Amino acid sequence: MAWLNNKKVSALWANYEESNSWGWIDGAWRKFHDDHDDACTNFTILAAHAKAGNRDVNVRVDADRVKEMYVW
Amino acid sequence: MADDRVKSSPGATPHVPKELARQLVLAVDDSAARAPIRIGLHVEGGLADERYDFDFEAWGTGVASSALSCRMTGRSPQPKQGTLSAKELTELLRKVDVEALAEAARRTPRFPPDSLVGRLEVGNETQRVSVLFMADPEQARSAGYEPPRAVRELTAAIYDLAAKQLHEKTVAP
Repeated sequence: MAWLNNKKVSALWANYEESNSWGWIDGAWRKFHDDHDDACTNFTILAAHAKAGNRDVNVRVDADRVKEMYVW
Repeated sequence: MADDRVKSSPGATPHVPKELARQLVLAVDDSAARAPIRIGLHVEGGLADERYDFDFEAWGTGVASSALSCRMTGRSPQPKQGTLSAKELTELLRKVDVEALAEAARRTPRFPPDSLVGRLEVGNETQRVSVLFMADPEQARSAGYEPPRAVRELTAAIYDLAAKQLHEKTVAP
């Protein structure tokens, strides 16, 4: 488990598959947690806001999934 | 039913010069951060009987290669590959201003025919900044497309390293 703090969301990607949404954060694509569709959607909304506003985020990455996110 | 754990992942990489800039800053002092960095300069063009071609590549591991062919001055040394000293590599890395290069990359000159065209590239595993510029100072001046300082300084540093590697007094056009 690792926190990536004060990072930017530089890009976003999603496709037709269920809960398949990713953000480019700190030099890599990070997949938003997809065990719960709501969570994946929420992360995508937060990340889109962060990207649009050029805001910093803190994200907790665990088992290659973004599982928690702050947008400052 | 398909396993929903096996999903597609993004295939493209976004252009984020700031990430490359951060790595360059780290690389000046940290040899581990240097490894994936690549700096390249390719220059070619000119009239047929004055044709100039120059290639330089340096990797963060220190490996560098140079090649030159200039019909106008008759310079055509054997291409060389070798290893830069830690000091040479550090000095080269210090010359790289990624954000200024990214800015320069947004303004490509309108190259007149027979121009010497330079392509300066700095990158790592995921990011790359590539600048096209007029490589002959006289042509650039008369066309009104003089390269910005960041391009001039990095290019000059590369020419110096290549001249040393190729045992030429100068390799510049």
